[in-house]
Amino acid sequence: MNALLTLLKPKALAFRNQLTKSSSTVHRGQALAIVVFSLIIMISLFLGTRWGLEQLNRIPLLVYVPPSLPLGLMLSLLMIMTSLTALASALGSFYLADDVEMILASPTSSLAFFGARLGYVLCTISWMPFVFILPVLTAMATTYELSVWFIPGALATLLPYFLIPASLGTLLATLFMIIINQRWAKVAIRVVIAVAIGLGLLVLHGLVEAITSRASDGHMLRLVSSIAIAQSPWMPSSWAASILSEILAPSGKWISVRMTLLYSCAIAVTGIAHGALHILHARAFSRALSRRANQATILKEEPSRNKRHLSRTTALIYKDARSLTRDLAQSTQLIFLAGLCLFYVSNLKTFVAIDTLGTDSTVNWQRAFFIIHSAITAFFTSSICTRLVFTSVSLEGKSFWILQTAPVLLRDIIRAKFLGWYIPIAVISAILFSIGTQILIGRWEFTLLFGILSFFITYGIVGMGVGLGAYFADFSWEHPSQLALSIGSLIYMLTCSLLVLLNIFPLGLLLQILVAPNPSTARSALICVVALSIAFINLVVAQLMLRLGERSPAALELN
Amino acid sequence: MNWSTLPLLVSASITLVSIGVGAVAYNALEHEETARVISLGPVATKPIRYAIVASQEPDRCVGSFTTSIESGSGQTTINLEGWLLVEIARHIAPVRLEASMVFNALGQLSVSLVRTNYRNESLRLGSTGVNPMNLQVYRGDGAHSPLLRQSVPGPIELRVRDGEYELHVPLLTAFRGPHPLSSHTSLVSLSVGPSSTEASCSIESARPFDLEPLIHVATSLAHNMKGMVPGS
Repeated sequence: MNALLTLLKPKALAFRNQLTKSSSTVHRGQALAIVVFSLIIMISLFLGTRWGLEQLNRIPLLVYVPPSLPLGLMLSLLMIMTSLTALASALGSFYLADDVEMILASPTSSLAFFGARLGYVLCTISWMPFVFILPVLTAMATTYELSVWFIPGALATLLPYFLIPASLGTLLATLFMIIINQRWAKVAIRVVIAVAIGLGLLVLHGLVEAITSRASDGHMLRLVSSIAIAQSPWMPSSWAASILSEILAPSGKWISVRMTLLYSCAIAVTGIAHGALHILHARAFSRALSRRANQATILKEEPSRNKRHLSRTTALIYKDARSLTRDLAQSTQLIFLAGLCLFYVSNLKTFVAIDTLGTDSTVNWQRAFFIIHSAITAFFTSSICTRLVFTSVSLEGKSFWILQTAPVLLRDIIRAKFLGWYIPIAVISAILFSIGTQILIGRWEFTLLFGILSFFITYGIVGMGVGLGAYFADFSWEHPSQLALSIGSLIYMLTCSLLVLLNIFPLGLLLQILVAPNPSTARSALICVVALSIAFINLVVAQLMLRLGERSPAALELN
Repeated sequence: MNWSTLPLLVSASITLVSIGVGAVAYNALEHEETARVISLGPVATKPIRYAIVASQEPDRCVGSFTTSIESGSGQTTINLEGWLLVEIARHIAPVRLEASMVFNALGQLSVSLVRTNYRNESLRLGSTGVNPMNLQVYRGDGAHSPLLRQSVPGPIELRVRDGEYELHVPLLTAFRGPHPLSSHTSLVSLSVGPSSTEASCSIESARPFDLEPLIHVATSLAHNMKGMVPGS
């Protein structure tokens, strides 16, 4: 137990110092602004959820939305994202952190090492979602009849709920380090790319068929049933959602069975992760070390092999691309995010079922699903940016001084990073937006318009990512996964949520104007105004954030 | 014994126990989930005819019904029409049944009407609302005042899984402890299967089904339900 506390103490002290070290008025002001901003977002989430639930509860005669449905959807998506974060965090904590070598050389048991690092992974993956979940749960608790068991029940439920992805991430990180060695890495990446292309083509074939034939392959119930998959009895998120839902609005489901299942699953996954670590850690860590050594050799050899003349911006983009593919934690997240994107796109064809509704209902459902789809796409884009774009400046790490001493302005570095990330993310986002619009609305001119607008939305999200990433830059990290879980990252996510909401309203309005039956000059003018306002908002936000990034205190301190 | 492997052995034991407990809990969960699900057969646009047969004599039917499912305008409607040849107090006559259930866009039962007819007596059962569902039972075709009013927890949901329709009825799991229906299902001893031809199951060739024991059970169940259903 003492060893466990000794291992956790430096992390806790580092966190405390991060909060209390700011002695200057500027730092205190920043900290206060962050707290106020977070509270505003939390209150907005609380009020928004409460309003939404009250609207739904007003029409129990026509439709009933049990708390388990939104909770199930929210918790299942969150579990996928936390598992991904846990994988990156576990890769860093167990294999890539600087202090692992020192800990392994000390007389520390494997159990203490595992417990301390798992505890750290658990804290890092859960604190941020907890900030988002808390106001939603509080809103649900106040809307439905608040039971005295809700708060202890929610805490008892969320502990194993977060422990499952933390342990799963640890287990996957160990297996990943064992399987992917230097010799097979390139082959594995090629196989993954080939499989991704194959799956992409398959998904594309299905989508093209769905778009051209508009065959709904069933009807609306298929769509609803596929949404209800979040409530499948085999999903841990569904057990957690059912427990919370039962405390709020009892429907006769057994809480004790689900709680037992949740805890036994969490303990079993943790046990397996510990077993795997106990047996495989030495070999996996040795591979991680040899990987680092090999990378250093490659880096030394590289300048002699690559003598092409590149422009300043291209050289910076090229450098970032190489860094991304070499960084195990970053490239793993990229692969998983690509998989998630593919899964979402492949399920979009289900939305063709909206055509089977009556004419009046179709328009309403089209609007509702279009807004949901736009929000999902925008949040997916921001999720990619949180992990990859926001961290791009900080990833320079302790070698940032090399860039500082080069004849390149910080402004140019930030602009190059923006350009490097903007192009691929804008293309992905435009594909997602366009496919969704074509499936939901089915008109090519609308698809083209929303596809173009998606480039502006991505401009805002990526610009904000690079700008805030530079402003909250932290070059003293041990492993890259720490960056996506920092306070700055939370600020970015919260600000990004606001930007997404700011875009969703005009997008919804634009759709409403577009599907209006009577075309007129005034309507065309209104379409132009709304579309231009979307473009304007994002361009201004991106420019403001990029300028903020150029005044980054962390980067300027290094000067 | 090598002490360095002790933590591994302990965690392996805890893992195995957890997997065991989890398996038992999952089994209970699955039992709870299946208890609330009624399978309605494959998704098809054409009406499907079913034969009701007594388990002891599977070659002779006791009843038949036809279901049709219509979708459109954000609603799904299930229509059911059928008969069951019954024997009550030594009288043999068919009980005719007509039902129509309307589900909203989320697949939740919003309105339903069931009409049964036995000899000269008829009963109408209607429901409105999603959760709770307000049930009303009327005796006779022209009756305006209901025989019974009851609020029951909903929603009853229609879902599509693996190409088959399923009806999720929460009321079936609302009962705690031993399932009151399960202890009496042996009394029904009927099974339902698709019927290929009209001739294979007709009133003329059907064998009557003794309904007396079931009426007895239903009466006692209705009595018990009053204390179990919230709001009753």
